[in-house]
Amino acid sequence: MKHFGKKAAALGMSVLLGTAMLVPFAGCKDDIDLDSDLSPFVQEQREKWYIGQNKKLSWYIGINWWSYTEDWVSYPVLKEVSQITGVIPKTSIAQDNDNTALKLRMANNNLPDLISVGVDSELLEELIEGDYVYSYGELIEKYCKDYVSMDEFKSWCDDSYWNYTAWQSDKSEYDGKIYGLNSFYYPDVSDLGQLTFNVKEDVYKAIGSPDMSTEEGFVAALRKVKEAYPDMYPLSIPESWYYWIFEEAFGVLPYYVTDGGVQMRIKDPKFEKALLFLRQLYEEKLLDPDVFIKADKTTDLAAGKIFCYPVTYWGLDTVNASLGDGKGFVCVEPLRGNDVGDNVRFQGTSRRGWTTTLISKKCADPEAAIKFVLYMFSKDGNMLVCYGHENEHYTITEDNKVKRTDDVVKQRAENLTKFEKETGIFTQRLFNYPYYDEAETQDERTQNNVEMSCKYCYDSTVFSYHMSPSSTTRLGGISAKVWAKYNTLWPQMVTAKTEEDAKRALSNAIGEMNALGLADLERYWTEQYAKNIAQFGDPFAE
Amino acid sequence: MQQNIIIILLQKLKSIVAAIGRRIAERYLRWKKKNTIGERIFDVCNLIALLFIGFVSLYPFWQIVAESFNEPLDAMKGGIYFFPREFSLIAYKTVFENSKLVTAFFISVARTVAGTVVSIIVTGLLAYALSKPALKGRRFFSLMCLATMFFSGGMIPTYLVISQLGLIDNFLVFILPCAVNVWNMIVLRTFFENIPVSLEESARLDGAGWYRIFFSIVFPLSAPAIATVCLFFAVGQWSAWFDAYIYVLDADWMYPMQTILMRIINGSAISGGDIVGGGNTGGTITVTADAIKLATIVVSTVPILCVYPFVQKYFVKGMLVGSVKE
Repeated sequence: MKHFGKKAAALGMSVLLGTAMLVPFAGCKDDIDLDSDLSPFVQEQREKWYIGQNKKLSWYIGINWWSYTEDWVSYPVLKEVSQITGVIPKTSIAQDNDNTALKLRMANNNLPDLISVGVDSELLEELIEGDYVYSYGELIEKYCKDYVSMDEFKSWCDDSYWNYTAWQSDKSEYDGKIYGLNSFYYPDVSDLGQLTFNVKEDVYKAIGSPDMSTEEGFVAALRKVKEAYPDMYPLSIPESWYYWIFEEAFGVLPYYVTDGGVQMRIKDPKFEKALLFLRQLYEEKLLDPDVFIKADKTTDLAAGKIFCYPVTYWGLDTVNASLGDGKGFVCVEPLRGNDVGDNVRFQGTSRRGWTTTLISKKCADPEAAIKFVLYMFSKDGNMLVCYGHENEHYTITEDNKVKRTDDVVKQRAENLTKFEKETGIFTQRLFNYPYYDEAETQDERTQNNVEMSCKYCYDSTVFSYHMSPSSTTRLGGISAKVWAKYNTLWPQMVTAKTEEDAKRALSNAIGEMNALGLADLERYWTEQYAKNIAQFGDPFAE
Repeated sequence: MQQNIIIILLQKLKSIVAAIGRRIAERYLRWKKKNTIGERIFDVCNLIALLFIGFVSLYPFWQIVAESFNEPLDAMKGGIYFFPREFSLIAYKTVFENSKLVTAFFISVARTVAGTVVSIIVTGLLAYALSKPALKGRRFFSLMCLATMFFSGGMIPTYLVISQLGLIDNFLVFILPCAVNVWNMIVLRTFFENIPVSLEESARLDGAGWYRIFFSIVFPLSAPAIATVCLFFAVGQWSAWFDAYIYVLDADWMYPMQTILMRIINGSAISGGDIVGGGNTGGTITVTADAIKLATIVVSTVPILCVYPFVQKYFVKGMLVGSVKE
């Protein structure tokens, strides 16, 4: 029996190893048949958008959290895109934050055909001003006169979209040209909302749903929570830049803009007020005493140990699912300190999307690449990829809004992954442009959160676009040191024993940053800010 | 009938427990008789210390396994220490839903087996040659090998060499660049130096050549060291993911399991609406990024853990013998 068992195990192992050894030699796949059994929808779209048969494009997506990793044609709507255009993209996705694979391909001079990188990635400047990529205008002029002309292409979008897409450069040969299309865009600034003050719903109701929009009301509410729920942290703050919402509540912007130029935000007198307020909360133990030590607040949030937590309105979705109905977090009117009143402003989400998609000069078939991109960006391509088929997956309402069908909404709510796999809708959406506004299909809580976040948001592009100098330059080195110093000193300021100590710590911090070369950095910011205002406009202009 | 079976089983269990108890008692009495009080105190302290170290080493993995089998939204609340609070396989279901995982598993097995075999042969031959004092330039070659442990060309030059050798999108990129490992070569070389020369001399008198001596005499005698080094190579091959990420461009069917698992972990960051923009992703959340990470840790570790028991008897022997020069 034992002998038989050993033989069986040995046989099983041999079969496994044998199969494994065959796999490396079995990698060849046949060309996919895109020309048979075409639906009427596909045939109609083909008349306008067909490029050629079996055009293969390699596409590098430089965002490591991108989760659509199956073959392009395994997603039904994307297969239709391939049937319509004849193009089959092959995507490869970054696995690290530094785009190491792309950098190595640049060094080896074998870039992929399409490259999608983060809108604020340093690689963008290198790719564009290193002459690795084509400008869209150049390709449209050369290949697309009978497909989509430049004038038609530009007529698809708001004029403002092109401001956010055109490359800004000191070199005239690159400045103002379009090298990539962004993954999404918000035409309306009031749709940019993201940051909210969130409170645990059941506790908030138990303490009488007080008004937390004033400094006194905010502190009073936290004190009530501390008294009624001694095991709870009345307030906690996230570890990333989201905690800036506190300073923004006091009117502090990402940079301190004065007539003399743009300076580090901690030099703003309003920053000191925000700092002292937080210090007071820390001293009264209303702020979690370990807030600067904990790397992750998720366990405390999911265990219901935190009452108030400022973060993006979607950042607590997983926690809310864990806590259950009635016990999750809801958005409340934000704190408005320092008599800011309704002039309070919170940074909106990026108006330029996550990525911009470029066409490399190593592309074997740039004509196919530009035509494919144009299709994906067109209304036809957008509606198919993002919404599916009209009347089957969405409808256009009387007020010209796109509305997903109830069935689609239900399927997405029940199992989004399954829906995406079975339809491919809203997966590879890296050329998303809102040709229609969306009719509301979200639940009441989400709608409320979205509205609350959008009430006081602003377009912060002028404070983000090219404001960080390249890390390989002297200024980039100064910037890294200054921000590292800030991140080290800020907790020390908040946890100072007295107000005087906090003010002294702030003053010392400014001194230390000045010693690191902050003045040079501020000169760079001033110049860049002026260029950004010229390109994107002043977000606070009346 | 059922009652009788239960009675028999209970009696069996009772006798097993009694037998274990008797053995423990016998060993304790033997230990008490043999050792002095001081030795007994030392034994007790030693036992406690080793139990503590064993617990500290094993517990993190145990906790990961326990939490990976817990319902993800419940696991977020913390407090999972030894066993799942709410058993669920959803994290594993999410991991195994990836259609590329099966092919990736076979790629991992293929590269582990092929890579280990090639590495052990190439490294073994190098170690054997360098173990011969009569080899001209032995010191020079040894120093050249040692230098590679401290200096390397850097990522870009290495990539350019790999590309120029035609290894991009080629399965051999998993085998050839890491065929020789200098550390393992040193372990083998030290072991080979301790093999009596007389064995080789007698084989030579019988007409055997170098290769015959190596494969027929030296290799079999070096089983402990060979097994140890094989394990190092196998673990290295099994755990590798970065080489596939940078050297496999278009042939993504060649991605090994670890690269696919890395993708799953990275892609899970978007779950729970963590990243929105361009339209709310919506969807009911059933699995969290942390749960997927834990499930992938278990999926990637368990296969190699299954191999360890088979080589354990060689492991300690091989580590010690290879490191000691007589």
